[in-house]
Amino acid sequence: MSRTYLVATFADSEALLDAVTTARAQGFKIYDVYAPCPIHGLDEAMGIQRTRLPYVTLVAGALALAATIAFEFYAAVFDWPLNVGGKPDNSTLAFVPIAFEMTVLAAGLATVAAFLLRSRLFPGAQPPLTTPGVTDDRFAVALRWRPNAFDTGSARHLLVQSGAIRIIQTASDL
Amino acid sequence: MRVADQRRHRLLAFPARQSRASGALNRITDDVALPLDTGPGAGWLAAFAVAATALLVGIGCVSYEIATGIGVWGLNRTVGWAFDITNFVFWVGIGHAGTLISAILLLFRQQWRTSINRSAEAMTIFAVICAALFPLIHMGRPWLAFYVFPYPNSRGPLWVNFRSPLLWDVFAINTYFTISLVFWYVGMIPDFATLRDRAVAGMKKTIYGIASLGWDGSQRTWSRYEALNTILAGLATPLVISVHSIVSMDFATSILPGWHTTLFPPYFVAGAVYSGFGMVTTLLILTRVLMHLDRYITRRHLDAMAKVMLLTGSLVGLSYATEFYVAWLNGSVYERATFFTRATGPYARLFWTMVACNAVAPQLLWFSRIRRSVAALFVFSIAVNIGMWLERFIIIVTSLHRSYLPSSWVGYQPTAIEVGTLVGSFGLFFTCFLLFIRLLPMIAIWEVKAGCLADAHGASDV
Amino acid sequence: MAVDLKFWTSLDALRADADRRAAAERDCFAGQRARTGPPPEPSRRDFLTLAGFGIAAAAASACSRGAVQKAIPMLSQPEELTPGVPNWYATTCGGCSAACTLLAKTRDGRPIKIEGNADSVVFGSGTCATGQATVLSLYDDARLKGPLWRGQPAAWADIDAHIAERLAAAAVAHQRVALVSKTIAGPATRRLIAEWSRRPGFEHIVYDAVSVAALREATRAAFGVDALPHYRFDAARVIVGIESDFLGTWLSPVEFTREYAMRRRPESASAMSRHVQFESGVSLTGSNADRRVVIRPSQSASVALGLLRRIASRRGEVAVPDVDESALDRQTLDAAADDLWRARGESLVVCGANDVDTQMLVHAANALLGNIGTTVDLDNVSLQKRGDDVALARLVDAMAAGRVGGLILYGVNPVYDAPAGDQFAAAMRRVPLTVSFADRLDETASHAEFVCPDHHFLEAWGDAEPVASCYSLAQPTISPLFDTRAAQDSLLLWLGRSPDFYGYLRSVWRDTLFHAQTRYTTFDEFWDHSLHDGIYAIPPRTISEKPLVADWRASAASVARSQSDAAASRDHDTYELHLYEPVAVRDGAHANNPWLQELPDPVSKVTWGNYAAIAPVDASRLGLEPGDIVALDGVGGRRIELPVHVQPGQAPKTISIALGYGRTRSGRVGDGVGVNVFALAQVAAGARRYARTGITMTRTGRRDALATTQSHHSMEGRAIVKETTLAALAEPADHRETDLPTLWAARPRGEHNWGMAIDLSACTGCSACVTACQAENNVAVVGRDEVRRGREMHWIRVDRYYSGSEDSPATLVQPMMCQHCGDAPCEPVCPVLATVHSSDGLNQQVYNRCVGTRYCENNCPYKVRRFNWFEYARNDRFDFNLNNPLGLMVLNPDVTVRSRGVMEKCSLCVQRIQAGKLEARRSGRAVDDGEIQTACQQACPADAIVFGDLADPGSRVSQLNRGRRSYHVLDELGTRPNVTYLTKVRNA
Repeated sequence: MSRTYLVATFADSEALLDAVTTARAQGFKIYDVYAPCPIHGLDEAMGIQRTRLPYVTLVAGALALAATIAFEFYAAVFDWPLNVGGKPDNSTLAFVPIAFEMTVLAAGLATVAAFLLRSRLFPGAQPPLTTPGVTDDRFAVALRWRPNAFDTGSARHLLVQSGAIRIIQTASDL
Repeated sequence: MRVADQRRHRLLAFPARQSRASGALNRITDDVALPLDTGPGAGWLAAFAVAATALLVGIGCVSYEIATGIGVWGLNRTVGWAFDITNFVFWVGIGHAGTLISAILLLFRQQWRTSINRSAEAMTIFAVICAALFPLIHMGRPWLAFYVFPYPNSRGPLWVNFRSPLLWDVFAINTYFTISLVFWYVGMIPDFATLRDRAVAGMKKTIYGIASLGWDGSQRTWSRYEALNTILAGLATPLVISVHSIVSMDFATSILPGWHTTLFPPYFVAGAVYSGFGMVTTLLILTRVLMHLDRYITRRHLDAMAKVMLLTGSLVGLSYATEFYVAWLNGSVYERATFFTRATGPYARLFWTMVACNAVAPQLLWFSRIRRSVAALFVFSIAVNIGMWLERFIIIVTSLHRSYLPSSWVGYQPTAIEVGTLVGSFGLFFTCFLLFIRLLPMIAIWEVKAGCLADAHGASDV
Repeated sequence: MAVDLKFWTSLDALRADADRRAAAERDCFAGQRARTGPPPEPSRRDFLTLAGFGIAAAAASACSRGAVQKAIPMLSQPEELTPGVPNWYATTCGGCSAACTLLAKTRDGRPIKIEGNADSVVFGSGTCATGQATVLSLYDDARLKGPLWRGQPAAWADIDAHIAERLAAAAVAHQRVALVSKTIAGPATRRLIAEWSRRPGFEHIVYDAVSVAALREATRAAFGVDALPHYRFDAARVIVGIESDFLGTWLSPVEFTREYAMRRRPESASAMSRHVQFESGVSLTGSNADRRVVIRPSQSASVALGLLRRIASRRGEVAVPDVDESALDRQTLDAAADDLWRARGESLVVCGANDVDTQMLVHAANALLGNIGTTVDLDNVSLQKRGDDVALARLVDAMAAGRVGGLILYGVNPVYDAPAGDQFAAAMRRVPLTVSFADRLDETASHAEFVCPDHHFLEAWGDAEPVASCYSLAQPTISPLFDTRAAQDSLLLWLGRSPDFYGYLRSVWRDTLFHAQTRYTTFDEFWDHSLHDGIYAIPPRTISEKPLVADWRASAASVARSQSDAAASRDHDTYELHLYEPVAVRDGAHANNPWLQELPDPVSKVTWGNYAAIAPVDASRLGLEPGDIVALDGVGGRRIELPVHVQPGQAPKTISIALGYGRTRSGRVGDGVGVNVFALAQVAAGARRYARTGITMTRTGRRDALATTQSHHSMEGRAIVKETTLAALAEPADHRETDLPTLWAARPRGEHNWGMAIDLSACTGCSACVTACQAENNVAVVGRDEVRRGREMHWIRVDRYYSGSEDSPATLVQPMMCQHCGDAPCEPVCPVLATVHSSDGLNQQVYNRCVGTRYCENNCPYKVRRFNWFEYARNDRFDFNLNNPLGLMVLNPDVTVRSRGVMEKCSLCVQRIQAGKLEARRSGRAVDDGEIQTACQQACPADAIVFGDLADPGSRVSQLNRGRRSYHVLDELGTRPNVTYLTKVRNA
């Protein structure tokens, strides 16, 4: 079903920050904020909790490490033991560098993949709410408009107060 | 109907208001995007012509070598590596500065990096491409290069030698290239979005649209995005150190006097950073002139990089001294002879040039007048590149050409083919770089904006 | 590929010649006797089959074109051939006049390897580099494919008709017919020529490219024996050599090396010999001497006289002419004379100068020392060089005067190697009938009207008597590759006899040797065993002391006179020239053999061409660098231009130049390599002196870098070749290095641990091992430019170091090949496991896995790995034996031909190891010690290389490994090599 949003555009990040803070203070739910660059302190203001990406990194890395070491042992000790310069079949130290590289590789790729999935970023993806200029020099805050539990007037008022230069009400299927 | 009256209402209600900050932001976008919108300038065209020619020379030499045999190089029964591996180590080293600037300085929250990290990362990618070329073509049978991968096969147990530093190289270089590439691309997604929204329509919009993966600047994404960058930086930092340590182990794990030393990993990493920053300085000064970006690549940047080179250059010089000291200290006739030859033998002139470029020259950077003089730094950065290339050549060739049995002592002289291949690698590097500055945002728009906001914020607090 | 087809024709002919087979069966002991592996008692079946092959091979007609067309390789398998199983045929070497006994290894019907015949009491199992390489000369595509008449291919029948006609004409016109031949080793051939001599006006002239006629002359004069003395170096406790490279090229190097080495081991039963060498250029022999004294060539006579005077005075003889010894080192002469005198009866003085007076003095010295009958054997004389310089000179005059109606050239090339070669060529034009048996259109044959190419010795029947009472046989190992004919067959035919030298040979042996023996009852039995063994020795005559019949004082006086004249007239600005026969290409007959061209000179380590070796002092005075081209004048208006080689130990004011180079019609490989200096030889009193005075040397300013395999000559104080003296060795010392600690646990070993021990005291550096390895392991020839770039491919090299002053340095040699380290540095660095360790101690190289990173090469402390920088086989860039179908036939099918881009190195002849293990397993026993021999070990005439199983404590190699002289090179690196070296001992 189509939902309606109240999107206020700001020219100034501080103004935006004020708007977000006051809006939340007055119990408005911030749907999202759009900006050309990350804004300091906005996460707290919006109450975004810390991302769980680091766990992905940890798990992927750990798995890759174990898998590589295991493979090296299998190949060099069990499957094909050879006398290579009189070194022991299980030359553990020599196996470390490759294991390390594979760990980093897997961890990095897994984290990026997780990020893209979580943020629904993929070639050809269409942003749900496009506000002109938010990738250039504008900042926008989007409030979800609900038929009864949402006082459009006061919302407008506080946005105006905090210095919105443009407010539109737009519908989107999301 | 409602929407219409809303608009009227707003228009009545609020006179348009421009903020100091947003004007700056818009200007940043324009500045960075300008080269992508306008046609190439004469300077760029000239540079590109030179680079492309060099690249063609390289392609010719490599094709001839692969068609005929490694024999077209100057190598012999005693000196099995020379230009090939020298170039390999040289280019890998160049690459490291990019990662260092974008990753380590990010971790250290060095704001000044923002306007140079994009091109530095690009440099990394291109340098690693050049580097990876050499281990491939230096093989006697490059068409069998896939033998170095432990792929499942039907030849009975047949795996690779996990004890060989060359195999470590294979994995290190591949990982390093992949991670750098991803890091670089991820960093560019928001800027692609900026360019997408800037573009009116057509080809550009489509391409940037696809590349931007539907980025909409949502703060929720931004916050994950910053976390991602930090994580990648955290991964890249040990990676870059491991890569050059492993490269140094190609030598350190051998039994050859002049190669066989535990000093190599830190020594090589320092050298890599030194040479990398040298190359970054060269490039930035060039782009600064070519693309008129002196507002973004300021003397402050050059000064900061000069300081890094002062530090790493001094580390390199210290390593040289240590090598000789240890050779004298351990009393091995072979070690002593090798280092004596290095300083006095047939390659002595190259050796002392190297010392001058890598150990002596950086000491000039104690003077801020030199650090802040663009011309002086440019000359210096060239010297760094030469000196660091020579360092690898000295380490490889002087150690090999006279080792244990004097009966096998020989000389080594590069052939035109080898020189051509080196020239070609520079051609490849600069061709890629010049294309990059014409086709991609060579300054991280979003990061500069973030920095600019931070500044504005700070200003307003006062 | 027509050539390939031809090769099979022998087998095809075999099948075709059923009637011959029948004949053979009637006469079943005829034909060849093969040795298959270790010779078993041959079964009758063997005899039949071998007989068939032998007869077929003997018959030149078998090689007819028709047969070529029908040839289908191995469609029906010849009976004596088992694919993959080598046959061994005993034969006699035709490489030089020494006529060593050989075994030829044939695979699938083609000879691929030469080895010495261990049964020979004279030569032993060793060979020389030249002998090893002769098998490649067989497949030389410069050989004539058939007879030529006036330079055009012709049919044998026509040629024979013409020649018979002309010979008749010559007889009618009472014109002389001269046969100029090399030294004929074989009694049968000598007999055949003797039959020719019955023809009126026939004259046989023996001509050696490098002459020792003066020695024979002096021997005749001194002892009334018209031959060369047979020197016995194994009986000599003190050896004094004067300008005589008896270990390298003089008379019978393999024999001398073997005997010499017998007494160079301190462990050997007989006391270690002491060797003093007086010489100008550094010869292989001089480089081995305990004491090497630098003299100018012109001083060799006064050295001989000086020694003689001292010896005579010690014997209380008086009235010895005095000579001015101011230019000589008197102390050394005294010391040498003392040594000789102390060891009288078991000492030996030899001299290489081709000067009758000097040789006379040397004979006298030996006589006064009582060496005649002990170390100088005049009863079982050497028949290895019988050249007569004077006769040839006379012949040339006669030819020029048109008094010669026919000239037959057999194995000689005087236009190239006679001092007056161009005169010879001119004189040939005055001769109505000129025939050459040359195997190629060489400098002389190209002036001959008829060229009737002789077989290669591996294709021909023959016999030899190198030393009186020691006979050997030569048998075909392959049917003639081309339409050639044995020279003896031609001679028989033109004599009006049936061209069946095989039959003639048998008849000669029947009439002489068979009847002189009692062991065998039937001749066939006798013949069969002789052929199987390759040698037949009748009990040697008891050696007696021959009195000196001539008055040596006359020679002494004349020497003294000439020396004082020389001293008076000596011009101090000019140089003395010293010409010598190089170890590899010898007199130039082998110039087209790429193996020999690429074999580094044992001392100078220079390949591909000759050079002017000068003393360091002269070089620095003239500011000459190695490779600077100098011009030499002073030889009858001739000007020779050569690159300079600065040779430590070269006598000041002398220039040594190798003969045998500068061929112009030897073939693609040998032509234009180096400069021909035969013309510089001085003809004095009939004898060719390979030295002369009054040479001026001027620099041209041009350069031609020498292709040398070693550019640094000092050991830099590193203990690489360990050396000690006999005295020092006598003192008890615990030398054995303790095994270094290792981080790794010992790995499980297989049943064997193959290793090698190399006795540096026995090794002379002759480099036979290098060529043997090249032949056995299909090592590629890379050519002069690549050697210059330091890319020679030899798996085994002989490192040569100098110690001491550069005016008279001591020379040390060390064969160096893969050390098969227990903990090999090359192995862990290979990313693809292309080089790994076998369970029986071998460091293996896996060619098809190698991707060519060359890391192993970099990490090898011994630098013994060789990289294929190019494709060396079938590549016009390297137009040597691997680039033509004929040359490819020499390849050893047991060894891979390495492709471009892979690393290779010594495998300790793993193919031989596998064959040996297989043989042992088949007969259900363990491998016997010494059963498996590597190619280098087998070829070594000094028996310096021992291969064996280190896991077997009783094996010879283990014993040597435990011995007090043993050490490992670069042991301190912890590589734990399986190759052990035995410290060199000098008797100084």
